[in-house]
Amino acid sequence: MAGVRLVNVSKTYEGGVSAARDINLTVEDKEFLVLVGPSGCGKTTVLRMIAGLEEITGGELYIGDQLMNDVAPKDRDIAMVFQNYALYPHMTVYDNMAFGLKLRKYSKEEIRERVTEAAEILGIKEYLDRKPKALSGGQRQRVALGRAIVRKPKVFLFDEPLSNLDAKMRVQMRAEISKLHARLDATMIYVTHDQVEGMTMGDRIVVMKSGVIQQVGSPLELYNKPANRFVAGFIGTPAMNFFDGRIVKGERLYFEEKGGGLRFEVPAEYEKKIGGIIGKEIFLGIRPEHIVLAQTKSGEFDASRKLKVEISEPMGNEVFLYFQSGSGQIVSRVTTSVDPRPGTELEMYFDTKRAHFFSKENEETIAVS
Amino acid sequence: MSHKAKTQNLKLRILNLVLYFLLIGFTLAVLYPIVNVFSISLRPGNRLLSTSLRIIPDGATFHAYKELFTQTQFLLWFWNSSIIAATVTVTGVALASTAGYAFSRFNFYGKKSAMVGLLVTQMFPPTMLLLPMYIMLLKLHLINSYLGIIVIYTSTALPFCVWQMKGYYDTIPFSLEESARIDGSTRWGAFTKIVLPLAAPALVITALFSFMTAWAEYVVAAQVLQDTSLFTLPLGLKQFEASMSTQWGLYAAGSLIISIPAVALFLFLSRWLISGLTLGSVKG
Repeated sequence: MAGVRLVNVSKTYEGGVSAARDINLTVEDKEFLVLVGPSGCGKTTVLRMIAGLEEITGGELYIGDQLMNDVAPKDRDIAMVFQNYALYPHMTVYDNMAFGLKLRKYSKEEIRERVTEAAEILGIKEYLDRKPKALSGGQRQRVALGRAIVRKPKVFLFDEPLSNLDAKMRVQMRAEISKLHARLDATMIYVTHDQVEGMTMGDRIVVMKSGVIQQVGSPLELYNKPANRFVAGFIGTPAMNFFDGRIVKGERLYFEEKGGGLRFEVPAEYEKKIGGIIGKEIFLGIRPEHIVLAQTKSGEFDASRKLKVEISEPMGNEVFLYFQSGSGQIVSRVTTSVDPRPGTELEMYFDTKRAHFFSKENEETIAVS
Repeated sequence: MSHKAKTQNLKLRILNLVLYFLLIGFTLAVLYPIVNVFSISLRPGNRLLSTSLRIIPDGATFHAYKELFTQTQFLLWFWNSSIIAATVTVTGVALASTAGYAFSRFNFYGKKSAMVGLLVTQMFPPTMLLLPMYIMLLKLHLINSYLGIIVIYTSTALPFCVWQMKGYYDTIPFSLEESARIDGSTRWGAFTKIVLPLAAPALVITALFSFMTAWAEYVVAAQVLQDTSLFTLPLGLKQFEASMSTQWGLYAAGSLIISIPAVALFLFLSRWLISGLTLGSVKG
């Protein structure tokens, strides 16, 4: 097992298109690191550079202590699971899993032993003689996982391995990969566009946008203390609400939404950090669960507003309520058995103590609870 | 059985009947010339035309076959054709499979113009190219040699083969090779162990096309090969045709034997002519 270290790694394609810029990242040994971001953010490029499938145009890549920039993929001692499984269609499941071992000249007994063991772990033992086309999507992805684990590589790479599965199978495989990580005690780097996968599986998450790392941290760190507006909006479902406005000074400091919408007192604990930006335009962010119905937390918050329900999405244990406001749509997540009809006017309370303040200039976080 | 089902059943049977009649008609149309040639080859003497409709003629004899192998240079021509066709086939497959791969997988300067260039060569009929190719071979001192005719046949067959190999490779997901390279293959290893087996149907087409380009070609061979000891089968057969009399028996027997390797090769290779080889490899 080994860690992975990227030092100022960049990828620029011919024609000057930059897919990744100055990536500095250390993946600890045995860590489960998740790279997330919207499509085209460079996460897959970073993974492919680690795999050796994409040339590194700047910086250094280390696996363990060895510089890997110019090492062929086969010599990096890594395994990769692809989004589309990439099983060899002309080989049986057994041969698919044995392929890498055969190339590395393992003895027949050793190969049989390892393949059988992996097949048992993944519950695909009865399919060993089948060709991939005779398997379902979930089974194919298990074979792809099996092909990776038989080799016992230093590092596992996953490129959106669950994206082609249906929702139920995805949840199941998610848990299985997490279990596999615990069992193998291996370094795993996992790419996904689905932040739920990142939150549930990762020891740490790397959020990327336009080829640049936005923030690296534990799932809760990213959720509670996002470094900028992008991370705040990307992590969490439904996404954080943003209000466009400015800080004004009256008796105390106030946030005033553009166009005279929302206005509330800045909680005392923020005053010190916010004090320097009086008059400047900012974004205020509040997560959906911090906008609640009056009756649930009556009197606790000082910022409230009457809002008309546009859409209500009952989720069973909670309801997502969508309102129209000056800055666009506001979404609130309330735990209730009430399912308000569209058009109903509700008094909603904003938990301003949990608000996030972002600079409008560079969208960096100014203050967070 | 209900009335409706009965009518439907009847309809189906009539349709089948019509279909079979059509198929039998096509089969007869294909078989007739072959049977006719076979019949001619069995006729005693050198009779091309006959009023009899019998397939096995009166006084049928295998004399023509015997004479073909003992009195003529048929075996030599067969050998020459085999050498030339085999070399063209092997060279064609080797070059088309690798060139097609390069066109499919790599980006290089002039790729697009090279592809179009290959296509353009297919727009000229071989007879038009005969003279320039003859002059080229003459300057290269390749007239009247195996190599000369092999170069011409290969270059005639290659453009089509490269295009169709490239087209087939394009349908094989790139991630299969990447996966193989991570599993421990070199790029060449991924090509030979993963891509080539999956491209079997395209390789078969390339092999058959290359073989047929060389096996039964007459016009170019007649210009390039002048020494009778280098003659290929089509040139040899033409020898039986003289200004006064043509040895139809030998001609027919030779024609039938020539067709055997081509049919055999097709039957042998057709088992790889199956579609859907890459099914199940990746999520479609």
